[in-house]
Amino acid sequence: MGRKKGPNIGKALNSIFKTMGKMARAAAAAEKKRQREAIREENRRINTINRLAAQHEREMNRFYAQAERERVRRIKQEEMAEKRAAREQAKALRDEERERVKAAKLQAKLEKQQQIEDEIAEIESENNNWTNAHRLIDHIDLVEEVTTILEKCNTEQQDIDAENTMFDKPKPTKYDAENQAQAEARNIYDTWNAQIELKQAEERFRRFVDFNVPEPSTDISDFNVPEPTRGQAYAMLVKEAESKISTFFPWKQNRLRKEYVSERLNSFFDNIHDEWEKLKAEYENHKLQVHADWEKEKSEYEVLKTNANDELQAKRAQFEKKSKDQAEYIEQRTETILDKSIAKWKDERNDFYSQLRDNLQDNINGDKDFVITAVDDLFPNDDLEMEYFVDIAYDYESSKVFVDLDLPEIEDIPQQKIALTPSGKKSIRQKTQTDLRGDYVNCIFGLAMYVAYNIFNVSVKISEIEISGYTQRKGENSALATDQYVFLVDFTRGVFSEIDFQKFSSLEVMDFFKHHYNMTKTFDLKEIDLSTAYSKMESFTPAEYSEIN
Amino acid sequence: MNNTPIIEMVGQQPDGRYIVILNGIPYNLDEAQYKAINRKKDMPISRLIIWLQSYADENV
Repeated sequence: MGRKKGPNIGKALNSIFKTMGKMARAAAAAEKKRQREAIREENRRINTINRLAAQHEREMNRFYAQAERERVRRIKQEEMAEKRAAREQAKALRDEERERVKAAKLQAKLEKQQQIEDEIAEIESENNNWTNAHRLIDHIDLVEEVTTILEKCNTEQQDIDAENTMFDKPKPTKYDAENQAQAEARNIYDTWNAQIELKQAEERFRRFVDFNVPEPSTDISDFNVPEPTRGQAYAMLVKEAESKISTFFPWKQNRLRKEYVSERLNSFFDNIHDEWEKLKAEYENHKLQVHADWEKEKSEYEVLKTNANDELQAKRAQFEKKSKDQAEYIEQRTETILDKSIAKWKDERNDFYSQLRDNLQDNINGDKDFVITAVDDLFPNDDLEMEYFVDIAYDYESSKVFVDLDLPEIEDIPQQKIALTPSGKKSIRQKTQTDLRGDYVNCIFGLAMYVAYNIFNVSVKISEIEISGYTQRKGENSALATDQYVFLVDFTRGVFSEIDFQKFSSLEVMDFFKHHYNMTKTFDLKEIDLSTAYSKMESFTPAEYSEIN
Repeated sequence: MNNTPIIEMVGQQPDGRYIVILNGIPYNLDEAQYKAINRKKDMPISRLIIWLQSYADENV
C-alpha cells in the first residue's frame, strides 16, 4: 500500500503536470485562438467600417449628385416658370390689346350704328315733315264754339268775382298788398335793428340785475392777534438772555441773566405792546378802507345799473314807437296798394276781355279786311320747312276764300327714304322716281290742307276754301320754267272739321272734297287745263266721310 | 258765240303799271298782280272777277 502510494503520487503529479501542461497548451492555444478571433474580429470591424464608409461615401456622392440634379432641375424649373410668366404676360398684353382693339371696333361700330340711326331718324323726320303737313291739323273752330266763348267772355267780364275765368291773372289780395306794404315799411322804419338794439339793452340790464357787489364784511374777520402780556415779554427775554449770556461759573451766569432780564423787561414789554397796538390800528384802518371801497364800488354799480335801465327804457320806447308807426304805415299803405292793384288788375281784365271780344267778334263777322290781314300775317310760318307762297282773294258774300298756292318743287323733296331689309332692319335707300312723285303728291296736297286749316280758323264765317295749286316746270323743249297748275280742290268747313287727318294720307283726304288733278298710276302729276278744270271739279262726287267712319 | 276775248292783257303802261281789261272793265295792276292774272287767264270769268277785284282792293 505504501509503495503503491509512492508511484501513484508521482504518477499523479506527473499526470497533474501533464494535465497542467495540457491546460497551459490549451490555454495558449485558446489565447492564440482568441487573438486570431480578435484579429479577425478587428478585421471584420475594419472591413465593416470601410464598407460603411464606402457606402456612406457612395450615399453622399449620390446625395450630392441628387442635390445637384435637384438644383439644376430647380433652376430649369425657375427658368421655365420665368419663361412661362413672360409668355403669359405677353399673352395677357396681346389679349388686352386684342380686347382694346375689339372694344374700339365695337365703339366705332356703335357710333357708326348711332350715326346711322340718327341719320335714319333725320330722314324719317324730314320725309314726315314734307309728306304729312296735314297731320299738323288740329281743331277747326265752329260757329257755335266761338259764339259760346263770346257769351262766356261777356258774362265773365260782368262778374268780377267769377272763378276759373279765361283771364287767368289772379285778383290781387289784401295779403299780397300787406306783404308789399310790410316790405316797404321795413326799409322805412328799420324796426329790425331797433328790435336788436332793444334785445341788447335788455341783456345789458339783465346782467346788472343778476349781479351784486359782494359785501367785504363777510370776507374780512375781526383782528385776532392776541394782546402781549408781561409774562410773555419776560419769557422772551429769558430765552434771549440764555442765548446771549454764557459764563464758566453757573452762579455768575444766573446773576448776569437775571440782570439782563430785569434791565430790559419794561422797555421790551412796552415795545412789543406798542407794536401790537400799531398792528391792530393798521388792521382796523384796512378794514374800514375795504368797506369804503365796497361802498364806492356799490354806488358806481348802482349808477351803471341806472344808466342801463335808462338805456333800456329809451330803446324800448324807441322800438315801440317805431313798431306803432310801422303798423300804422302798413295799415294805411295796404289799403292804398290794394286799391291801386285792384284798379290795375281791373284795367288789364277789361282790356283782355275787350280784346278777346273784338277778336271773337271779328272771327264771327269775318269782315273782308280782317280776313285778308289775318291771312297775310299767317303765312309763311316756321311750322313747315318747305318754301311756298299763299295769295288769297276773299268773296265776303259767298264766305269763300280763293287761294292761289305756289307749291314747292319736286326737286326739293328729300331724295332718301328708309326701307326695311328682309331681316327687318332699317336701311337708307335712294328714292325711285315713283317714290319721289308719290311723296311730292302727298306733300302738296298736305300743304293745301294745312293752309286751308289755318285760314278756316281765321274766321268761322269762311265756309269754303278753293285752292288752285301751281308749280314751276320747264316745258318739254324749253329751258325756261313756267307756272303750271296741277290741282284744284274745294274744301268745305263742315267736312273739313269732321275729318281725322291722322288716319289718312293727304292723297286719300282729297277724295272727301270736290277736286281735279290729272295723275298717272306712278303719281306723275300732269298740268291741268284751267279752262276745263273747274267744270271737272264741279262734276266730281266726293266720298262721304261719315260712310267710311 | 261772241269772239271778243273776255280778258285782254294790255300790258305795261308808260307809268310802269299794267292794264288788264275784263268784260270791258280795265284793272290797274302792279307787275306781280299782272303776272298772277296772266297765269290765271284761263280760269272761269267768275274767278277772274274775284281775283281782279281783290287786287284792285289791295291797290286802293
